[in-house]
Amino acid sequence: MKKLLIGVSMLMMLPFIACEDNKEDEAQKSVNIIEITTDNVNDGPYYFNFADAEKNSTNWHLSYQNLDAGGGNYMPSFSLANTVMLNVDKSLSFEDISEIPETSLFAPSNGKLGYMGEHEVLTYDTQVHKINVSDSNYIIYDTISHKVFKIHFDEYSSGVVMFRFAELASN
Amino acid sequence: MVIDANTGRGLYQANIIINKTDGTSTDLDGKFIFSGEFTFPVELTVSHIGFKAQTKFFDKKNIDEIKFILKREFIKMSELVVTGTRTQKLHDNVPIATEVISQDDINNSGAQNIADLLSQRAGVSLQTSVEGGSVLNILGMDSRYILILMDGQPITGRFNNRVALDQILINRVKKVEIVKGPNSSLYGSEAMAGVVNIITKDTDSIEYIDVSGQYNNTQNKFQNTGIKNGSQNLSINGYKPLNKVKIKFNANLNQMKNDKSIQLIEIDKVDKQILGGGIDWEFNKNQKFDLNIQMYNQDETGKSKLMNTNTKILRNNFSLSHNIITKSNWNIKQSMNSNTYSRNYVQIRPWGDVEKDDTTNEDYSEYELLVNKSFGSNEITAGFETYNATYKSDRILSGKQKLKNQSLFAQYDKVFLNQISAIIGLRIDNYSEYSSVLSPRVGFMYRFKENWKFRTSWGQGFRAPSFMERFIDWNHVQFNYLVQGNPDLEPEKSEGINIGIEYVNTSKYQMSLMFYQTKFENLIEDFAIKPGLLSYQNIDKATFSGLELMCQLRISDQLDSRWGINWVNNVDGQNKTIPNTIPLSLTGSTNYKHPKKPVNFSINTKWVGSYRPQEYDPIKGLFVFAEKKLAAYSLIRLKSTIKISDYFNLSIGVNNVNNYTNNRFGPFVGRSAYIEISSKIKKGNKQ
Repeated sequence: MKKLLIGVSMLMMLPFIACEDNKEDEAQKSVNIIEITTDNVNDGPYYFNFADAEKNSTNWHLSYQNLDAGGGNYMPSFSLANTVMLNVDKSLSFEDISEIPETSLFAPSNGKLGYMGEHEVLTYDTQVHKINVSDSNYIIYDTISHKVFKIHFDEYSSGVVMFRFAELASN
Repeated sequence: MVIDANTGRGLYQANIIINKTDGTSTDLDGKFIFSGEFTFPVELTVSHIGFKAQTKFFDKKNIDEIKFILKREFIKMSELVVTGTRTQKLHDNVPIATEVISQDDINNSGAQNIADLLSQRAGVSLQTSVEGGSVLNILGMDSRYILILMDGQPITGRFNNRVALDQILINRVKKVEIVKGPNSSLYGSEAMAGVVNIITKDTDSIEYIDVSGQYNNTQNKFQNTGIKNGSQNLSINGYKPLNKVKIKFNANLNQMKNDKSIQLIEIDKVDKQILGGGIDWEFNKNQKFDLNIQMYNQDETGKSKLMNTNTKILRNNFSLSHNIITKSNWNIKQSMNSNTYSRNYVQIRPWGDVEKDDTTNEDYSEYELLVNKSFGSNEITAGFETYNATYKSDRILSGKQKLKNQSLFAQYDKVFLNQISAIIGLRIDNYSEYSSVLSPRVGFMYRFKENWKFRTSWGQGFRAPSFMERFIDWNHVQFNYLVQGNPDLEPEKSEGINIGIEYVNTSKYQMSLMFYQTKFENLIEDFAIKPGLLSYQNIDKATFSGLELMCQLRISDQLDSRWGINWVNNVDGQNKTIPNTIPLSLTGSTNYKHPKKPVNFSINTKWVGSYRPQEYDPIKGLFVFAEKKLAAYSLIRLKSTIKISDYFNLSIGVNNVNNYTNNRFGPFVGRSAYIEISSKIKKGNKQ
């Protein structure tokens, strides 16, 4: 009888334990994720400032424009400002990234996000002639403001890209 | 009386030829009557599709006791084929090698559409086009080099230069005939490397109604939304003879929703509706009219956060033909065909901006006259064709283009001593846009040691440049390059030879080995005029060669097997492999019928050998070899059909059992399961 009572009590506790976990999850996910839709790259270059969460062609972190991929062919490409360092995470889901990676894991971002770059955002599927979006999470560190942002690119369609980002706060 | 040896019942619609001239056929009980003045002995030949023909002589003494007991053929060489010669010939006698995908093969395949069916063959591969539809590659050749016919007539709607074979649903298809090698001497442009003829016409003339429903799930599991996802198909076909008029009708509804096969091209839902009907009217013993109307409608929708797309395809086909047999036994057939096709593709941003709204319209009208006569062992066929084609598209220069063609063709066919059969043909095509083209062909068949046949044929073919290749003026929004047509393109030319040997024992097995080689000149390929500007040009030569071994084997009354091996070597003028060439592939199917219970089980397999695929390099404007070879892979399909009552069959199947996928080179759809209930109710006998 005693074992039965303990068993029933533990079963009744389960929802609360689960709720506790959910609260932790929700705390992690309460990071303010902002969804951005770029302009059409074919209408001209697009620049974005993460700190201000808006387009900014003078003080920008991310640029999106058609760059000569060689032979005069222009491919839509992303690139980061020289003042920005990059870390790429392929293991966690975007929502689950809540901690800032160690500083040593950030590296200069030169050309890595562009066409044929090491971590290119937009990939060209040569079989079906289609541009796909990388599933990687990009974590950037702005060496001027010392802010860190996580970014995920969700979709590309005829020159327009949708991406999400959120600032990662240091503990 | 004519009796089926297996059932002991009378055989309906067996053909009776009396003294090689007059003919009649059996009634529902297998009985037949003939009258007239005959000189004895009377020679009677009885034939029926799927049965071994018999010839017997009767004199005055036994003329009242005529009885034929026909045995079923495992290898159906007594069926009529039409594609290789444009006249009906027994498969056994046709000098041009013709591969037939029979009704049984179609039933056992589990395929939903023609693209799916053909892709199960050795030497055939299928790619999903990012702009919709399936691009078929036959023996390493893009399907634009293979003429696709439906009941002998070309199909309109050559979007992106190719017929979308996934738009032809399988339910109404009776069989498919495939003829490899140049066939322009009979069919003109596009038949430069082969012809695929999809035959829907029913050889039955008995009243029937045929209903089937299929649900196919490509998600590997039933989701919470139940059967709303996956694809569903409902088809109804019927045939009703009313004295001298026969009415036929068909309706087909097909829906794909959140199905893997369309998710790849970012489409959420595809609806296809087909409605058709026709009348066969036997005006008198020597004259027949045949009217057919088919209407096809397809709606595709896709939604994402950045783009909503909608594609609407409409296709209407109308055909009227008149057959007359003159007193001097000339068989004259004239037919009119009118086909219209339209495709509207719209891209709208969720916030309302219209990114693209382009429409393509294609109209095709044709008149054809075909005359044919047999003189003993000689047969002459000649014809005249004229067509007008109009192509209007937002993607081509000046929006609208026209093409006119007149052609004459003739063919002579002779059989020597029942052993040798030879055929010679020539066609001249005169186009409004470029000079005339001559296409000859010669074929030869030698039958030896009763069961062996040697066949060879040589021919020249051509393909006129398409409207798109000549007049396209299109900006590729995604990649920022322009494609401009080349109005000065010359027709592509081909010259091919087939050599084959075949062994047939109609009750047990069949084996055929065929070597084919087709040489191309003036191949049309895309190239970069300058960076960012692509066009088309006639290029150097290419040689497509292959070897094909096909076998059918009846292991027992319950078990039979079919398999084929295909080796392909396609190279360009610099001896480099042509893109999409799969050097070695193998296909096999085994069917088992339970001896007592009404259960049938089929396994279909396809094995594709290792090859190095090629990818398009957008910068060079060329195909380049991928860094790594693609490992060999196999695809397995299972299907079981159970007769659940006198009128209903239940089929369950699994496609791609081993769940092999490759997101770059295909197949793109992994394991999928389906269930189908079908019924065919014929007057006079059950299913």
